[in-house]
Amino acid sequence: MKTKDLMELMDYISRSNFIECEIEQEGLKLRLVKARPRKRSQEPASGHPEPGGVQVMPTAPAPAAAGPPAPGSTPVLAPLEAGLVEVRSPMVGTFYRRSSPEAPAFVEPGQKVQKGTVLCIVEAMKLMNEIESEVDGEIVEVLVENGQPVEYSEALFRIRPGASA
Amino acid sequence: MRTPVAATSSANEHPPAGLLRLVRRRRDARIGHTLLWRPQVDSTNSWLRRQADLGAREGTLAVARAQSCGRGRLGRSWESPPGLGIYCSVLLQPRLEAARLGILPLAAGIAAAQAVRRAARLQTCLKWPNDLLIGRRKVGGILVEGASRGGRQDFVIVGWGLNLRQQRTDFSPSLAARSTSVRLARGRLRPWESFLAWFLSGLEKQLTLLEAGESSTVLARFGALCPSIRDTRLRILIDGRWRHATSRGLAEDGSLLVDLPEGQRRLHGSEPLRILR
Repeated sequence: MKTKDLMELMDYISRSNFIECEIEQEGLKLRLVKARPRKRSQEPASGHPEPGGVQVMPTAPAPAAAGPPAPGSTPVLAPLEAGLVEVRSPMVGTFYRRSSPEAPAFVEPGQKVQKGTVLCIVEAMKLMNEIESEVDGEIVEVLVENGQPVEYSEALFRIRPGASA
Repeated sequence: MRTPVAATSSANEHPPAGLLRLVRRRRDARIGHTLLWRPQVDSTNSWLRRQADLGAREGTLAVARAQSCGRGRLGRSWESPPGLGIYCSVLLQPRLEAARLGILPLAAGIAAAQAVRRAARLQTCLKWPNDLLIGRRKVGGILVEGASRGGRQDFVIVGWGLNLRQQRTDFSPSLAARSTSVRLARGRLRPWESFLAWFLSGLEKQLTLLEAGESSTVLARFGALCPSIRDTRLRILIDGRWRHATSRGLAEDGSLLVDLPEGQRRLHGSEPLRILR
């Protein structure tokens, strides 16, 4: 296994729902365990097993509803008990719910969104990255407050998928 | 030969000949092979974003003589009077994992600082993450915007604004004490395309290094242009309070390590920061 392959694998695992992965190949045995994001004290209490953390998943590689992941793609949606999906941060940075301090929030709980609707901005080193919804549905919960730091893969929104109005 | 201009002015103003020569020279390059030109746009970043939605290719360069709503981060404005500065944006589709994406604004800063150093022969430095300084005054800025869906990065737009020909009275009173231009700093006043040629080739080079996994090389180059990332006293606005801190270099993702009384902390660029001397 080349270093590049290993980096790609680590990147894939870190963005997937796996928390651990073991590979044995040509005399090489490799075990990758994902570091857990730090817990957030202001996280709202809920029935979710890992507030602010990576959801512990069984060995299924991806939610069936999302179909098999395309090569190089990175599933960031995790199914929840109630059929909700989570939108996770693709990067470490600062979370913004609005495009400027005076602007209205991109989305509010209860709002219908479509695939491609801008949900928030995550900023890292002044890269202002708009995070778009990957599903049609309704915003159920905004999990992070405006201006707060977010970790890699941290859950930002919960969305109830469904046909948008 | 095909003129590499994908969209020209609705006001019937032909692009400056120097810009046309530049994109012709770069027709086989990854960045700067196609020119979008307008005498005035709202913001080159916003305009290029709309063109990206319509299918503009990676590497497309958008340039305007003036911006009516030049933007900084989080809705701040960038003064863009006609012909006095360079206002441009570049469309990128970086092949970078998300953890390395935050180094891209630093890479753009390197390209911008080197462009001013080479074209204007001015000692230009960077203030982390990507303000362009001559002495303690700001001469240019970078605004990087992107969109990500399902963990895949759709695109990134790198916008660059450079104060070129402004006199002191061209800046609004609130900015005059903190701003400068190539002219005010007595640099060589070269035409736009000289600055852009260095910027585009520099950006392509830094991006190639990043994509090849050479981010430590890029970070080292940034450090050479930004002495204040190390062992420098800073004031940082954290949770509404100005705090004293000391910079301790860059982490592998481009974030800034600082020592605060309670311990070390990583900054990701959203905290206002002042350098103390």
